[in-house]
Amino acid sequence: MRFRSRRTAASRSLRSDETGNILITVVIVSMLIGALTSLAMTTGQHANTSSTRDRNSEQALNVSEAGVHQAISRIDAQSASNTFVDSFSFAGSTAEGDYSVDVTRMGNDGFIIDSTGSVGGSSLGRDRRINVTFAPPELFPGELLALFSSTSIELKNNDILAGDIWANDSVLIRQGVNHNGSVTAAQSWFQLEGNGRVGGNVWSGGYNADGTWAIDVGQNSIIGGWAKASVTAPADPETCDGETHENYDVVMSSGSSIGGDLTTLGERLGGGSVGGTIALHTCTAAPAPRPLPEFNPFVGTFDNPDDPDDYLEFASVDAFQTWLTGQSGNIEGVLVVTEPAPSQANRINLSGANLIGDTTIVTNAPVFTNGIGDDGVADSAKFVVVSHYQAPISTGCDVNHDSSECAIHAKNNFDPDCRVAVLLYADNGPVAVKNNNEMCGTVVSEGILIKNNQELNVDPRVQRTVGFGPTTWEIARWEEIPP
Amino acid sequence: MTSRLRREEGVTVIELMVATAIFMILLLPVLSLLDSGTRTERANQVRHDALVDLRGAMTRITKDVRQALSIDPASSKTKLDMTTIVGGVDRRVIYQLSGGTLTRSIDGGTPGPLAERVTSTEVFCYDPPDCTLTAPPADPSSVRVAIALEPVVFSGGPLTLATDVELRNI
Repeated sequence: MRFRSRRTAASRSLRSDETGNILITVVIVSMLIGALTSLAMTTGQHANTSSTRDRNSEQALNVSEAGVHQAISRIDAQSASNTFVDSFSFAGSTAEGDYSVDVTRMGNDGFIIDSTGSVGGSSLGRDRRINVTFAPPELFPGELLALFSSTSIELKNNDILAGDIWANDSVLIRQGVNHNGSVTAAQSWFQLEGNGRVGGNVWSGGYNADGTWAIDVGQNSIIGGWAKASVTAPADPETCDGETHENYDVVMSSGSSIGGDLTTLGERLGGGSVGGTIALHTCTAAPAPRPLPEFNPFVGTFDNPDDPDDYLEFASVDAFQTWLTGQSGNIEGVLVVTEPAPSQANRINLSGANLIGDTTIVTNAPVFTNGIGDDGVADSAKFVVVSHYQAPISTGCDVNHDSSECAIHAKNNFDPDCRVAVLLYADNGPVAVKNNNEMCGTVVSEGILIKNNQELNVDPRVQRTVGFGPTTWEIARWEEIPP
Repeated sequence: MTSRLRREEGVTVIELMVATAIFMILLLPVLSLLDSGTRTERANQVRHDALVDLRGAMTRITKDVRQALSIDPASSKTKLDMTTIVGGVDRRVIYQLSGGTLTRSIDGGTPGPLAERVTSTEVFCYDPPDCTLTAPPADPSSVRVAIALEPVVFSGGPLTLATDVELRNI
């Protein structure tokens, strides 16, 4: 019993002596290990959180794009089945996250698709938002053209043009025309008569009927950029062997000038000046001719069933003219006129008509207008005239005679200001425009004649016009915006 | 009283030295580990910060490239000159790698640094995955952006981020 008592006392003493040291050691070591562990975990957690956010952000973009593609799929499917597509909204999900999409119709100019993708929960979740403009294809992909002709173009009498010109055949610019832009006569000659001006480049691909020149720059006329007389489809694109060099001479009358380089397979003739390098006897290939843009609209892309007036069909020109009179000349919407016997005596006459909004006229008859207004257009509008009129064989379009065989003949205040962008399209042409008009837009035709102080400025508003191009709609602009 | 004093007289110097020695032996590896951990954490932090900055730069570049409207044919593997959409407006944006610094300028403004200590000699590729072209083709469909940079505190080699960006507007 005593022994037990002593042992217990000694033991208590020993524990009393050692408990403090061990405890302190354990506490310190534990704190150090804890700090170390905490450090590692904090770093790991931080990196992990950051990585998760980045991953969610990347995935949110993919999810929002999935929403865009879903919207495009719906629009394309309905357009293909000739069904009008109005504004709509929907939501959906992928394996990665959710999307919500708002599609807003912009008249006949296309759609705005607004898609937001969301991935992750509230703390690490990320939203990305895409705004896509889904619009008709470009009339001329990658470029704006003021005039396009699948054959020739003639301008005369002090016209003022701004914008590039393309003709598969010849281009003739006469009598004081001032053109700010470039000219391509892809398979034929180019002639600039006295006191004319082309601010940009000139590129020809052929030569005149006499075989005496490819480019003719008249007295005191100016080409601001370079000039190039090329050869259409040369047998040998390196040497142009077999070609008659004299065909590709460039004639420069006194006082004329070319601001940039001159390149030709022929010679330079005359006393004009060249600002850049002169490369004679130089073989270059002409640009390939281009087809007219297609016009193949689906009725459903125009015809909103909730709007009885946005799309009207007429079985004859007479029916259309009667309707026009009843409208007091005010026109808007899409007007399709199918004439059983189209002719100049039986043509659409828009003289005195007044645009009150976006207007598209599609017809197989000729279209004539002697003065047309746009008083009813509130802000900006688009006026599209499509004539598939095929003139009788061996007839011609004379800009001086109102009843000559033009597919579209527009004169006298055709478009008095540029609130309206105009597209004149005649796949069987030609188109004639004249007399002191200001017009903003593009003329696309098989043959173009423009004269008498006509002012024409290329306008990007008609670059994308529904019905033109190989598809109805395409992505015109893709942009990420803040969610 | 004597017994009580004996219990409170503490430990001898030898005992203290032995205890301290044992304590130090236990503490040294822990301190060493802590020191190592601190250094690693600092390096990781610097590396992580650099990675965050690099990701930010990459996000900026990929966004500009993704919605580019056109790419200047004079662009190269160290310079990307394009028209793109910035804040809803069409702007000319130039990325240029020079002297290990990747800069971004808008509409001819003063270039601002986007990434520094860049070790890549080529940042932009216009024909992935081959990357043989030195300039963009007429109609590029995608651009590869690859950036490698050396963090201030070296640890584990240079950071490299690379991504192929599909051009949505071209």
